[in-house]
Amino acid sequence: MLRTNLMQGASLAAMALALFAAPALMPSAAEAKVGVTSTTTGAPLGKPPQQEQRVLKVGVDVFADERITTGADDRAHLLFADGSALTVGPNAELTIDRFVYDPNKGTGDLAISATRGVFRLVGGKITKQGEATMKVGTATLGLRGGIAVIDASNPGSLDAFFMFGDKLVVATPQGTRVATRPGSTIKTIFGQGPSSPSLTPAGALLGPLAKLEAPSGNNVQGSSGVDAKVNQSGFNAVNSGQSGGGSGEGANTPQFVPPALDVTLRPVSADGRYVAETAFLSYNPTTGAASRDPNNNTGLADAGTYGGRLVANTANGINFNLPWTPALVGGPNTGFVVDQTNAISDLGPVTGMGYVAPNEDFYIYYLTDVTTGNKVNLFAGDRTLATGFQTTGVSAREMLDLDTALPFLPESVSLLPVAANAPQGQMFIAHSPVLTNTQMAGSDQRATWFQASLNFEGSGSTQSSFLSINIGQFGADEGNANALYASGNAQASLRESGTGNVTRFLSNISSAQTATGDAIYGAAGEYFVFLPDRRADDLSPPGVTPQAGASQDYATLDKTPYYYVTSSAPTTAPAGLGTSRTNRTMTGFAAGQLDQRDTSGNVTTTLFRNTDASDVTVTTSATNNRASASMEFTELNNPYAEYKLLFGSTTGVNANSSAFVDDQRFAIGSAPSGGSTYNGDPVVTNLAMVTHQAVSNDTDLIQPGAQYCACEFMSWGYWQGEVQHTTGPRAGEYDRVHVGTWVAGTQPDLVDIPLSGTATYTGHAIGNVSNNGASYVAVGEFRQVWNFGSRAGAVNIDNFDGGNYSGFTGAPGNGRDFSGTVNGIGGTGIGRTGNVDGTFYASPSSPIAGQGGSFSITGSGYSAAGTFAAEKQ
Amino acid sequence: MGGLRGGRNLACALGVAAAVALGGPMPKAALAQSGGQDLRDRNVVDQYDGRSPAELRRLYDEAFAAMLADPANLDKSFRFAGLAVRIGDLEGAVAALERMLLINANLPRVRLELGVLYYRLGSYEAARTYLVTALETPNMPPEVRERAQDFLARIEKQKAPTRFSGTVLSGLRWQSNANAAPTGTVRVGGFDAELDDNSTAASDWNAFVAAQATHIWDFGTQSGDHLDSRVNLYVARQFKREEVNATVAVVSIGPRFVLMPETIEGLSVRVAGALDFVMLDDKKEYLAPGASLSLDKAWEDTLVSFGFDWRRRDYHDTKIRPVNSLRDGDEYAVRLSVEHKAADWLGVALLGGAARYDARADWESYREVQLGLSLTMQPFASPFDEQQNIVIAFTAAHLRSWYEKVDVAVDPDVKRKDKDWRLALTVSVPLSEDFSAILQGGYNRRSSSLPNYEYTNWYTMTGIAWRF
Repeated sequence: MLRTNLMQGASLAAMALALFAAPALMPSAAEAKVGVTSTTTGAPLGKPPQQEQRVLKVGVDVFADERITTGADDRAHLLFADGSALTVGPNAELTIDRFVYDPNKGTGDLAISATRGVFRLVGGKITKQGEATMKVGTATLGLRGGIAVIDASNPGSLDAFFMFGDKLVVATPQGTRVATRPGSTIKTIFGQGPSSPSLTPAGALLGPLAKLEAPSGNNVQGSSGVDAKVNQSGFNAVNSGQSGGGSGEGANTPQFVPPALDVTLRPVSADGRYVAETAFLSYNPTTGAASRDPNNNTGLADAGTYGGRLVANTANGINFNLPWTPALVGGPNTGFVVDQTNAISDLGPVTGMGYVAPNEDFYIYYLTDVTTGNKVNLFAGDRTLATGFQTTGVSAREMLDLDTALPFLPESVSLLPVAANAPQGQMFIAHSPVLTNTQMAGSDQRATWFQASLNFEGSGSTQSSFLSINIGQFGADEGNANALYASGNAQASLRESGTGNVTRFLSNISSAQTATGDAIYGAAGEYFVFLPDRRADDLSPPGVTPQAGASQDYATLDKTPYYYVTSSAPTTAPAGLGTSRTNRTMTGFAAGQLDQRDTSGNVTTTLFRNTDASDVTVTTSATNNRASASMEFTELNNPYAEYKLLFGSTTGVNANSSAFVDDQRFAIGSAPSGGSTYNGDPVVTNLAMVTHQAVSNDTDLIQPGAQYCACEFMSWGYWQGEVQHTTGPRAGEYDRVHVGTWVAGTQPDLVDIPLSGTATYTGHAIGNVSNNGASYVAVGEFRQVWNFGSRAGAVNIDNFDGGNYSGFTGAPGNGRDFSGTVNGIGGTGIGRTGNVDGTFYASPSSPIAGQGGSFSITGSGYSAAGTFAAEKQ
Repeated sequence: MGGLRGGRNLACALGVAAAVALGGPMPKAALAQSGGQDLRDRNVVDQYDGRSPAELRRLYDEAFAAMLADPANLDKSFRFAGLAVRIGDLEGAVAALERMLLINANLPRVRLELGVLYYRLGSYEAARTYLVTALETPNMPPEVRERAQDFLARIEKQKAPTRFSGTVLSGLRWQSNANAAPTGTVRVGGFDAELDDNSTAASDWNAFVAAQATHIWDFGTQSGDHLDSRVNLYVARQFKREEVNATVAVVSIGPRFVLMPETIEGLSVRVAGALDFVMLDDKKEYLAPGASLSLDKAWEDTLVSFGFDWRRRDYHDTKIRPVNSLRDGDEYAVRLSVEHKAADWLGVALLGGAARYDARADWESYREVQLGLSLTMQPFASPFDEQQNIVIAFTAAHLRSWYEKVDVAVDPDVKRKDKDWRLALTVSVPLSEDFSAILQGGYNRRSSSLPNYEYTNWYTMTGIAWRF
């Protein structure tokens, strides 16, 4: 008989309860926290009694008397302190009436009432000693010690499936029935009383269980890795007895037991690092500094291979014996499975993925210590010498996908479909011989890089969106040109649902230092490994500060530190990379939504755009591999709220603030010298913008048959950021822009505008929407027929957030910069009006090759602001 | 079962039959639950092997707290699920895995594990649902498909309203005293006499088949009531001493009712009609119709069973035993057994029993008590099938009997009083999922107030068992 160590069990359970009892961030003290949201699909909503309704995201606390509702595509899984778990299916509505738990006695009370939907309750400790009750209509169900699925999706009836346990009682005014045998069903038609329990017929659970899983086609992409964790964690070995498979090895493969190492090891580079959770001992939320745990963060002592295996020792004496499977020369950067059948370490069993470069000059392992669940990384390689690293031209790298985490982000984000589905954009590099600080002091050119990812899931109020922009540069230690490094800044923003706040992620980036200093890997600098450390680069004094990344909730501004290990390897560059690199300054438009947070933590939204192309400038320097931009705009409903935001720099200190690879692919962060203002008052910013072509061709939002404007002679894309007001009337307040849009190009000289003829311009209109409290991004089709003789146009924006708009524009002043109004003529556009302001853009071959501009739409409870880009047909 | 004392050869037969059913005590399995079934992959060395239950519970609590604090970390969820299985909280593991399907419904391995968890919980329709949907998952790894199909077959067997299972053991047995005969002087009519060579102890080999089969007819009730029919058969053919060729058949049919399922867990009663049939030297020895009652209470790791048996033995007269029918009579036996799973690898069973036999001839009537001990160890995996453990069982029993009257044909002054010691060591080596090699050695000794009944017998047996 397994006996509980009561004292230990009680203290740990109390610890678990203490987690619940920690001061809640948002709710009033009167509300009792009862559980936590552990998994969701879609945007299930929770309404605590004394809070506003909010989307239940992973990690969101659930409170007593909280009402939970789900839509057709929503699911939620809630975990309670006693181990009980409640899965809520689609189109459900329920209230957690009561949850009381005494961890010392293992007793308590759990009561739920529901009006509709499908639910599954897995009873925890409470149901071992008493019944959990569920009230559905006139029926009261009591579950003792087990699992039940309740299907109340059909009005007037209730199917209760007793999956396991001591008993399931269904009581109605007309009678009571008790199921005691697992696999039984009690059917109830309200008004007639429950049926006698009978064994569940074959297939009867298919429907209800399907409603408690991710909807068909709505799986988190990349989450198939979750399946591999069944093997990697060793769970299958203790449950089904099914093993192997992940590595191509069949079942019944014995656990790997390393042979006595009397073999001769072929030395491979140990110039690398061992990083394991917990990677840092402390965290300073103000500076981001995080002191490293020397036990989990150290160099490698030695490494060698034999017979397809790696034997490596860390500097603090941890031995690893891992599989060693080099990738194919010229093939994909495919990793291999590490599991208990082929790996062993002094830590105990480890599982995960490994990657070895085709030339065996670089290797990295993303492992999990099975005993603790902690992440463990091990990597090393032949360091790139100064003579090997490319100094001209451009190149691309692929972010290695060896764990579920996204580049430069915590793994927890990867559970969200919007993040997991985000394509891992390539890393683009503009090379330069300027690498040491001395060289940087004498030149404005930098070797720069950037990587970005963007994704939208769903549309309208249930949309979730994610944008990550990471910018950096390369350098070399002043006293050691062969100690090359990469540095950078990472920032990302996430809106999990239309009614949710924007969460931001910020981190410094530094290539990992080895025991012998800075290093990138491979004969030609093919491989990089990044950690969240801060490198001063061309700032003074140079050096590396151990740091952690941090996610920051908007409501509380609390920072949660995280650690990542991001790596990259060579890949095939996209066609045309680097073929068009232009020194130029473009003008344009920017639009978006500001989420404004006052000093009390209240967040309101407002939209903005500029109407004159000269308000937005984007300068690219092919010479220096850098770029800069400025945006001036006002709030849509307040022309006296003027923002001037500065991005990047093309000369002087760069400090990871921009990377220009070619005309289609560049990214710009906050200006290193500051200078951004709000109504003339200086503000602190954290900004980043990126071109559409660099993040991928996300077509989720665009109507079938439509497409984004190619507009290769123009630039357009996305931006994000935070503005912190430190002085003036808004001191202490914040603004966040999540996925704003921008468009820019080269305006033609007025004399080049034709005086007669017509032309049709087609493209897209993309903008932010604030719709009765929901915030999201929508894309429509833009079409304008322009009469150069009359300097007037007929403009249509179709299928924008379900609405069609039509109107007329004119450029009576100079024939180039036009403006006008649109009215809703179809769909959701009926009753709404809008404004359009734009200009013509030139290509190398035509002064009137394209049009770009901004637009706004307003209606009852509805505002939208965006930009458009169109090309002459 | 013919009582505690169904004859010397019958005792041997049942000793062999016991080897058929070798396995760790699985108390709850007695109620047709498969929750105690250990399905672990023995090829993978479990990092938690050797940890005490208290330590495992502590790790489990820690893992739950870690999962609660960081629900987004799937590694922590899997760690919790693994520890939950190890401490027997299969529901906890179910909850941890079912939420994975909210992230992605196309997870064949997760579905397989959920199917197995529900199978282990005895929730067969839920298990079947997960396994069927696992098999419909695109790009299913072949090894997962194979395992899912394997469990589906098991589930279909468990879900069927009638189930048939059993074991057949066949092999060779050598005994130092195959005819259980005394050595030296015996008493005849109160005088000492010397036995002839045909009547003294003689070693011999035999070939035997021992089988036991169970048929369950599930009534489909909430409590799990069912009709439980059992057959035990032992047939042995001696190489030399054909007079002790034995055939033993024991049949019982009766319903098992689960009592008060809502208030008392694991309490059941079985009432059965029974028939024993024994042949010696290819001639009918006796036929014994009767009835039995068994009251069982199962806890998680312990099974307590009380039984009452009645048999009416009808002996058959033969040329060699012309007055055999004087032994006709009624046997009444009670027994109390306790089986306890002391550790994953160790089971302990204690048996106590008493019997009374009232024969037509007073000198054939007796009273008897028995005490027994059994230790069943499963120390390590079989080299032939690492999914199953080698089972080593040690059994010891002591019996005492008192005859009511003197047998004047033997000794008019001395009533017969016997003391029996029975020791056996049995090793079962699984060769595959269905076949095992059985090796048994043992020692039986009887001392008696009358030398006619004293004997010592060493024996060894080897055979192959097939489980179906």
